[in-house]
Amino acid sequence: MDQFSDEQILSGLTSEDKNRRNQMLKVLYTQHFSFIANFISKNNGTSADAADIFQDALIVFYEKAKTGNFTLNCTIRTFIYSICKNLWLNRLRNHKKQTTINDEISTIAIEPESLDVINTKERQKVIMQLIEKLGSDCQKVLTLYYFDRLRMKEIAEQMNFASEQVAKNKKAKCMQKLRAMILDSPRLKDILK
Amino acid sequence: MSKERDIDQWIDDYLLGRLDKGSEQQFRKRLEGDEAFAKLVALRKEMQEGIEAFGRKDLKETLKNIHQEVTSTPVKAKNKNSLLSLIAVVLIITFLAGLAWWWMNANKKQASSPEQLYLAYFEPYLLTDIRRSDSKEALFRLQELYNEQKYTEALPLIQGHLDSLVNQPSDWLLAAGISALELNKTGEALRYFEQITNNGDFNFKDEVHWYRALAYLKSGDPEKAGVTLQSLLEDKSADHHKEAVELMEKLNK
Repeated sequence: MDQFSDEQILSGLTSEDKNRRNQMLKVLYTQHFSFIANFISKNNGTSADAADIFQDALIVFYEKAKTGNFTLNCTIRTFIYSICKNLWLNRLRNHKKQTTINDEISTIAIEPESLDVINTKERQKVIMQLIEKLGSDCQKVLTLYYFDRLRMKEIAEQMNFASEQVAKNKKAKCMQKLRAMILDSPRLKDILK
Repeated sequence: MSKERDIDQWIDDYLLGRLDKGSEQQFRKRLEGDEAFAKLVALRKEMQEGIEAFGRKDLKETLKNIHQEVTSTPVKAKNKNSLLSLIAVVLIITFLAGLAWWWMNANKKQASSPEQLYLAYFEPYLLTDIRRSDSKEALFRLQELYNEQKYTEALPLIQGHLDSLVNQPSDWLLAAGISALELNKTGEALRYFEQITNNGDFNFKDEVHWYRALAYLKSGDPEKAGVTLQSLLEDKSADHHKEAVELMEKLNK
């Protein structure tokens, strides 16, 4: 696999092209997974723990990168390692295990709330089940807009819509449907109370 | 509807951190002073967080696949026994797949009359625009009546509501058409759908084509249904495109 600089990876990761994004995720996997797996294994984790923690860290990193104001002030390895360390410490604490870790490399501070996204809340799970019922086009439009943070013009291009306006209409309709389903759901009705 | 969409977009921009400082201040001020608006924002936030969680789940699956790809080694049959087991498994899967294919085809043939296709594909359009408030209580109840599929009671009330308006909104015309359709008043349903087309409302173009096609199916005219489906078949981004493709395949059998 070709060598990519951190800047190239970051730019590919935030590009509107999903294939390019996945290519960069694969590059990140190839460059950093064995390092993280080694770290987790030295700190009482299994290879399955390593894969799970590393994947969660990549999700946190991706979401950070997609916010408009993200600046990388260290190497990607340091950033991912810092996330993995915090996630693994949290998991050890939850299992009431020893929580002293000898650092492999230097780390940076990660805000706890950016790690919190990994824990899906009960209400989000119910909404996710409703989204499953929306149909694949709606799922795609909504995740491209709210999760991948693409602009309407980019969504229209990705989904082969005739115009940006078609994408806007589609998103509005999908949100209307989702809202109706939420308000119809006995488990979620209290949201508007 | 467009005013509501503007508000929704304003909320989205706030939640996604896309407002400039001035707009953000204005937004916060309204959030503090307007309880109904705060509730709207809370609901929109819940929806957005749910969608983000859905996106995360999807990305996790992608990452699991990448993990497999990056860490897997080619599997080789260790001995003759494992090869034989593999062949046996393939044969069983092939047999079961054949059985499933036969069963599905048998069912498809059974459900091929226009009326049965109508029943298989009809799903009512949901009205969602009216929110409960003192000034709109009656309309909100009517929306509920329709969404609960109590069409006999709903249709005359919807007609009354439409009659009271100068510009008849497409979503209520569609609701009237669907109610008529379910009450076996196909001609009346088609007239309501026609009115939406005459209004030139682009947002409801796909819904009108879809429900008109279903109306033709219900009245036992699959040829007209097929012609009506054409525009949905040609536009991959159209609402009901996938159902239209499926339905057309069944009509052609």
